[in-house]
Amino acid sequence: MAQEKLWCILAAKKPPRTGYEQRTLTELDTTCNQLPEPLRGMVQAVLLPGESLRAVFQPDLDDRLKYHEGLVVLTDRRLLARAGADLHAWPLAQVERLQARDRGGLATLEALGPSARLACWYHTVGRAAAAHDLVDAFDRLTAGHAPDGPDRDDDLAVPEGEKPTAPVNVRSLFRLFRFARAHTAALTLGLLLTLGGTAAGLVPPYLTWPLVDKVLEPYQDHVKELRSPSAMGERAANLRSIERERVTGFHRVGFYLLAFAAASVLAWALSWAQGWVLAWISERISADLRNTTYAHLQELSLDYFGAKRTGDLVARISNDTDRICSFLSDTLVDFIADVLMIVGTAVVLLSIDPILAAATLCTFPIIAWLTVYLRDRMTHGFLQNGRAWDVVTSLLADTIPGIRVVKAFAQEKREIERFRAANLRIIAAADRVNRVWTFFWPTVALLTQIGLLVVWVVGAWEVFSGRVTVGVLVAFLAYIGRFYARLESMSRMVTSTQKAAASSQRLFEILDRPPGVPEPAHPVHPEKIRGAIEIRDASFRFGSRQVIDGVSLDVKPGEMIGLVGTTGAGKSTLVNLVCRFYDVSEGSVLVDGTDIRSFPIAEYRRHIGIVLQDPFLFWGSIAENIAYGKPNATRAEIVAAARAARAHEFILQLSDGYDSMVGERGHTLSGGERQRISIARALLIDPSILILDEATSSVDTQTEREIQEALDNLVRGRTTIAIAHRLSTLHKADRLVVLEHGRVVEMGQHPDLLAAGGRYAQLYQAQMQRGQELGSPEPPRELPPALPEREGGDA
Amino acid sequence: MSDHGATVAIRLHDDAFGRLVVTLANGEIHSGVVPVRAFPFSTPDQWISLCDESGHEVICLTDMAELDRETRDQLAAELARREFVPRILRILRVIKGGVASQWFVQSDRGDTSFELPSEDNIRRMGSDGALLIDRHGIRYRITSVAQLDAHSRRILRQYL
Repeated sequence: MAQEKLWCILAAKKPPRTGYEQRTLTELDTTCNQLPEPLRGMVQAVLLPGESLRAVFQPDLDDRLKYHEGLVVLTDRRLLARAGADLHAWPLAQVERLQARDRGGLATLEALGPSARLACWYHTVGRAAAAHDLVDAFDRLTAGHAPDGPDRDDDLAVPEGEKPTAPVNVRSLFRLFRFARAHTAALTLGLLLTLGGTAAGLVPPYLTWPLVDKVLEPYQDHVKELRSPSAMGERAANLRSIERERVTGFHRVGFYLLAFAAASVLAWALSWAQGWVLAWISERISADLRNTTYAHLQELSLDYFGAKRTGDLVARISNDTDRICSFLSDTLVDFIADVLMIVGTAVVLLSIDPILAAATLCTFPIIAWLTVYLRDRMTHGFLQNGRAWDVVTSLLADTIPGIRVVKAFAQEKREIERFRAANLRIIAAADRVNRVWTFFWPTVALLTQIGLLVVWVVGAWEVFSGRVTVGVLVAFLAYIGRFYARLESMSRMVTSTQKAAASSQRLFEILDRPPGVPEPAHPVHPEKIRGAIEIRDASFRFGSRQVIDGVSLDVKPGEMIGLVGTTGAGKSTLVNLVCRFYDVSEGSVLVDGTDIRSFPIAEYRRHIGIVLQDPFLFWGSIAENIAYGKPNATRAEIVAAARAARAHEFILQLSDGYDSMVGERGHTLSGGERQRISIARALLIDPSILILDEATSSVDTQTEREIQEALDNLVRGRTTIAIAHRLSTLHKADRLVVLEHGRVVEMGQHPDLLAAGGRYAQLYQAQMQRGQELGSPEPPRELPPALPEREGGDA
Repeated sequence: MSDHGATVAIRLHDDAFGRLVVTLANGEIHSGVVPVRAFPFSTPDQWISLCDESGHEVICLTDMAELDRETRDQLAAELARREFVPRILRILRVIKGGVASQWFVQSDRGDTSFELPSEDNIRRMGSDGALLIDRHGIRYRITSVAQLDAHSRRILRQYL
């Protein structure tokens, strides 16, 4: 764990990834200073004077594959490695090549000399990225362009997702203040109302004291005295006197009771107003929170969504914000009122009689301690509970859209079973929590009773010893009822506070995540994009996996490029880099000679049209779906786009025409129809760059032909990058680029590539063969031997 | 589209079989055409397409207002004959049975009742309108919810 922390520190020290910031040599030299202490010492110990550090790698296994922290250091002169107490060093001239490999969980870094392997270090796959970085640093050194600074900003890359998850922290609730700031005035009003309500609530029990001591008891004593046998003599006078006392007593009782009622009504009105004001605020805060989280989510890069389950994200934005809302409106308000009430009560009690007050408050510390103690135990349970709920929501979000697959494979029973199992986890987690708090509340109730008993005992003793009057005791008993009621309600808050804390932590987990592709600091606004794409030595890596490895490609405006390769060759990733769904790890992508990272993302994407394999249609009318990229499009534009996409006529056949509703799964439309709508959607924004990502691979040959016509309309005059498994889609491509393991292996026109007999020819033959086996005439039709209608690019 | 639009000189008539025949400006004649509203809810009187029997578009009329009066009336009559979308004037009562519900309404086509399979079959149209689609796919429109009487609105509010 300690080691992981070390890597995290390294990560934190990394400069922000602004992408194309070039680090200078001096900055690189300070890399050493950026290392955390134990490592820095170790590294500095092995460096010669004047030797500058290039990369550090810590293998975490020894050569018997036991955990052991090693050290491999690359400097501008040598490769150094520490093994136990020994230090090995190889001058760079001796090292021919460094090679990092991983398989399963085990990875190796090898140093190869001209005739033999010099050394081999083992590490777990979590460190593989760092190993690759060392290799890259070495390659740059030997390639000779190192001194002017590596253009990478993650020299000391850290395996991602290894940051330890912090336990639930109520502190995350305080971060909500950021959202409360907008409502300071209303919040102040709410707090004033709370204060007033609490004060008004303290009055009625106070009034019982004079009521008993100054009215009821004197009257009773007086009557007793007058009716006593000794006073029987002056009966008539006594009766008059009693009558007089009764009348004045009634007046006084009336006064106190009226004040009592007035205070109660005031407290009611104030707490009503306070409840309304604070509920109003909390509703707005949680709406802000939802908006902010959703807006932030939209900015996150695709790989975040790839790693997260939809249901989980949906739950965070809906349930968690709702939970925070109810926490803010109910729990927090109650809490403030309770604290005020308890403090107020304590003050009043102390001012009336300190001894009795001390007796009243004696159980308070026990309850407070119990609350804190149990909170810690429940926190864990609530987190587990939350996780169990995540599983359930994710399951729903998974299986409901995928219901056709479930039914097709007759897996309903298994899904029900899975759901049941997830539900059992909720029960188990809830049981654990319930066991704790069910113990808690009765215990608090018991302590309340004990407190009452103590007050009675002390109170009775004090009355007997004449220290206090009965009225004081009555007032105390009236207060203590409220006091403990408040205390109990406070302890109940532990639950919802912990839940809200867990919720806000889950929300901030999203909010704290930096957007995947950062907006440029000094944006260049593209006027009109011609569509010249230049990919310069681009590399991209997912964790330790090198998906794109040094690809260079020049695409002229209006040219159509076909990307060919087996699954996993990196075709989609390359296209994603061009769309800037991800940023390149190394190298750059230029459009019209400008690095795409200097364009504002939205402005850049406005010039890109994408047609995907599975055309996703949003819930809405067909017209809205076609106009998705340009909401203010006129009907004429929509119809024109639909016509060009060969969608107009089938849309007219639908019962509501362009106003027909299609949904997420759009079951009413066929795959080809949906694809043509998505082509119309791409056409409408009139993009200069067009991406076709397996646009026809999910449809049959007949439909493909229809789509192909639509696509041909779309491609005309635009720079196009098309990916296709079925080589037929690419018959109009000016150039075919064959990718394998993230590298360009072949490039050229169909006949040339076929004649060359390389990878492309193999792929083509394979499809031909399969086509013949299936008795379909596909391949011959799709790929004419020559490409007459377009002049080819440079092969 | 503007290339069809502007001064649209088409003529319409019914042939002996009761089919609609359109004569285009260039003299082309197509019989058995069907007028289709491309945007039946958002702009019912614009973007009307005349399709032949196999569903191919013969001509698209951007705006009915661009037609001469006689043709426009003919077209409107033809559309009216093909469209059955009662406009709900008043909702009398709704009986709920599980997810489905039975609606009793007054419409511009008379009093009727129909069954909605689920709440999804009611949806908003534009800012103030609503569309109800019954079990058989028949559509019922409410042009303006605000203009309904209070009783109808109260019922509708549970669904919208």
